[in-house]
Amino acid sequence: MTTKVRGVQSIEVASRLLSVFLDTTRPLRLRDLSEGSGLPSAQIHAYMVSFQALGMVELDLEKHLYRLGPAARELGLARMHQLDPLSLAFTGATNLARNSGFSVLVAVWGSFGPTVLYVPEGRVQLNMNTRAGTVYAVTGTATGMVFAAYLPEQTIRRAILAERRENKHRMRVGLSKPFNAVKPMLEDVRRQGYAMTVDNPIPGIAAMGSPIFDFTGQLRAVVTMIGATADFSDPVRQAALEQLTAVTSGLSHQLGFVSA
Amino acid sequence: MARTRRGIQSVEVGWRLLSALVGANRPLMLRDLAATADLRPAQAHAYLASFRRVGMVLQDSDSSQYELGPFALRLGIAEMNSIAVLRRARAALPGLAALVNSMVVLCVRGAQGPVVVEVQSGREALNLNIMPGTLMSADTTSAGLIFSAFGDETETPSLDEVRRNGFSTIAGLPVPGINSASAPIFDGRDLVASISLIDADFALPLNHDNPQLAELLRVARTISAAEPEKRHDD
Repeated sequence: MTTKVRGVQSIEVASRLLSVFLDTTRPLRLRDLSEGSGLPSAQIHAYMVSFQALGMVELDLEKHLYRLGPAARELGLARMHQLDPLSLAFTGATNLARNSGFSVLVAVWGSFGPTVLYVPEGRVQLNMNTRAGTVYAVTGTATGMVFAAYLPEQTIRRAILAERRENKHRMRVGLSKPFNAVKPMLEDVRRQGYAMTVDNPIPGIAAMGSPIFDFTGQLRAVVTMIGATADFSDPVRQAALEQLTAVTSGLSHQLGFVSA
Repeated sequence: MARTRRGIQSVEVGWRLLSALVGANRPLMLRDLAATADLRPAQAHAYLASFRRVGMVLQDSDSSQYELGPFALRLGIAEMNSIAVLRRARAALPGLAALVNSMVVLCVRGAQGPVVVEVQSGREALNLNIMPGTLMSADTTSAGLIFSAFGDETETPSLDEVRRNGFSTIAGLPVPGINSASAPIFDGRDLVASISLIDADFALPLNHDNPQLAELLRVARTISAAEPEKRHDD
């Protein structure tokens, strides 16, 4: 056993071999594994013997093709079972608020639309009526625009219609525009990977929302940074956006999302 | 690096640690993890350092506990995506959910029984706490009935009706007011997955002439492969 800086080298070699399987749906020949990992075939063979003994890899004897086995599935299912996407998102949002100084919120899609679950405050107290449980307008807030960009169109159209039937004393923040009016903006959100609103719905306040996806490619939550419009001028805005998207893409990675 | 005729010894030792994390189903302290894997803590620590580097395990900075990481998740997903029938099933879910307007859930076989791997919500959020990784009970969920009826050979007269119908239904169990219906997905003769419809009882009636059930069965049959699929040729 060769150890390097308190590690086990063969574990890292083994992981390099396993990661070759992540990039394909096809079974692999020894040669593919060698090309994918940069390791000589002779060395790989011994690892494959161990992987087969563990059920991590299966070998088709006729064709000499390797594929991942039931132990690989068990690892994935165990991780899936233990994953708590919201608690990960809350931790990420707390750190983002602390590091950036801006207020941050985590929202999910609930029965009445974009629903705020958690609002870690930044250094500056903002005069806004957002707390856990607040429901946002679908196409009238940065958070809502992220949902509108990534959820099925039918879901969003239905939510806008339901919003428009609500009475004037509703507790919702923001006012939704009709779907067709925001359609081109949704394209922009998908292309840029975030949504931004300035002085809308609250004058003097700007917000940037960014999506968290899971391994099925579905939108799980939105993380939004909120601050005074004056504080969101460039280059601060650009730096804040980078902090935000670093957090959301890190969370998506944790949830197994791989961008196409 | 000890190399036996049978393989790489330290890979097999490392697996004992991963296997302990799978079995515990919760984060573990180094001491407990090492004990379960039958390793000295110092030895376990060296392995875990390498597993951490590749994202196979994570260590919580506050509690110091170890848990499985994103690399473990990606391996499991890659294994499932290497099976053509499962790829087709995943691809078919959003369309089915839109058509039947109910929650649609895909389950695969895990070591402890059927496990949810994908959920497409229908009309509205049902707040049922069904998400990827959720274990489905063998006898109180319609998905569980499918795996019991088609997943093993044992004679169980209570499941004869499910076998005859080719689908299972459950009303009000495990959640009152919630109905569900499930259909099997086969790869040749092997059951590899189930697809379930789940909704409020008024939105998913379980009478056999309900068009939602017909649609579920049609999609499940389309996805299933009559012959075992050659996993290397697709």
